[in-house]
Amino acid sequence: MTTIYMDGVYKKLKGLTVINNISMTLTSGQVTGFRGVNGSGKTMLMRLIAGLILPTKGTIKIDEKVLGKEITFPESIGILLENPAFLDSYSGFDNLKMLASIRNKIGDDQINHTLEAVGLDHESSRKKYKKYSLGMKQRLGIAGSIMEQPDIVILDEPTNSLDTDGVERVKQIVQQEKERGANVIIACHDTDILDQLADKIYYLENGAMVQSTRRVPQA
Amino acid sequence: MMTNTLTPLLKIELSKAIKNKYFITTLIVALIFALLSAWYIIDLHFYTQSMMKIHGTNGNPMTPAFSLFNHWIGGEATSLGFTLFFTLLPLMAVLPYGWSYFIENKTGYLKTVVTRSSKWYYFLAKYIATFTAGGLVIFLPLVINLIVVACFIPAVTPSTMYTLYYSVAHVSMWSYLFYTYPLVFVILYLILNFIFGGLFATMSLAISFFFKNRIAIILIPFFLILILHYSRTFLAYKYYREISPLNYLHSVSIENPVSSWIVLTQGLLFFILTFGITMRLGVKRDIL
Repeated sequence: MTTIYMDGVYKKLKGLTVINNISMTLTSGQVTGFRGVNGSGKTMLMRLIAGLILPTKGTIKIDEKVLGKEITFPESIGILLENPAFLDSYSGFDNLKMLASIRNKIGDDQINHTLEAVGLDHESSRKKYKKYSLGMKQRLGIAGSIMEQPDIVILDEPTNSLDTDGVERVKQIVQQEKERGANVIIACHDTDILDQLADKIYYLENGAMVQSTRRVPQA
Repeated sequence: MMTNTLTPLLKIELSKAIKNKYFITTLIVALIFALLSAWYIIDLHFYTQSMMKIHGTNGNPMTPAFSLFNHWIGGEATSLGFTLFFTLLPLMAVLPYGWSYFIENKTGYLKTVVTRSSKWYYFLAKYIATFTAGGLVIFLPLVINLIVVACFIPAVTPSTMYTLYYSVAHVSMWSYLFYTYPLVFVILYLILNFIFGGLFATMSLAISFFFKNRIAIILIPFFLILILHYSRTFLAYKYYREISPLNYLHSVSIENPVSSWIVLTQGLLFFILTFGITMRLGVKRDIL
């Protein structure tokens, strides 16, 4: 169970306020959606939660630990931010194996299982990454973010470049991650997908949160 | 988490640094330069020997004058291979892996790695891997040159009778070892080249924090060393000591004798600057 707590978070970059006084609490076992036009601050907010950038003002706590002071990054996090990025000269499988070896929490079976879940079969996952199509790259990016079953899963535009099968798989994966108890955060332009998946949606405009809606459980 | 991710990260970084096409290509080019030197110098040696037989040297074979230790690439200063190797050394050191952080930051790969470990570990592993790749790409061709030349030219201990043939100034760094334990002298130069090759490579890593162009990142360390090299015309002659790494990374005192203090100071300065910038800015800066 991981709780993300944000209190009065501001972020300024080169004199420009990109995140403006955001406060929210994100709990595990829930899917949180971020919606907004390009440049509204969705990705920046995800970077803040991931610990990649630190707030200019305000506090972000992950399970009561202050990000940037008590911890550098959330202890268990999987991210797909903007475009997936892997090493061209390695296969999809080898890329994931290399990343997994850093924490050494999962073995080859778990990696293969995750690759199958995103729709990359044994043959395609052994191809070099540079030969991947955009859709395959996106699938590998999703696999990389969930393979270690992290407590926090951040997916920025996870359906980019995906076909219908890919989009359906993303929906299933998000649902499974939620049921597993992960704290799932998604930014997506597709309003239908976000409406279907997210338990709560935050609307962002010029870095500020302007509205939030909670999904009403269907009877 | 902080205690157990450095070792795997270091293994990954070292593997990436050495098993990449840029490392292999640069190593081949550096090897060609080193073997060009060996070819020229071995050929010259046999020509000189045959000329001595014809013209004679009053019965003196002058054996110590024609030793492995003044014929390997780090001890001669006449061949094209030598000139190419020691002039392009700062550039060759950078090519295998100096650009790596810049690319990983640009593509976003950095994000997926650091969130699994820590910024400190990531940059420490990156620094060590960049240093190692830069050092190895210089060190290996020198060792191979030494072995090839040793197959043809005897490793006779140099004699102070023939200082003119060695150009190792008596006040120059480690010169006493050259005339007593020449192999130790050569090994020290090999280590020196490994260290400076590594330091030149890490210059590129440090520069990555200030420039957003891959070509600039690769070329700037080379130009910085060239500036230092040519500044010797108004700095070195004041003190009559070598200040250019391009001139002190081999044992031949082309212009001025080498001072170990200058080498040590420059080495430490390069290390403090490159390591300091990498770790300080790397850990402090946002990852966008």
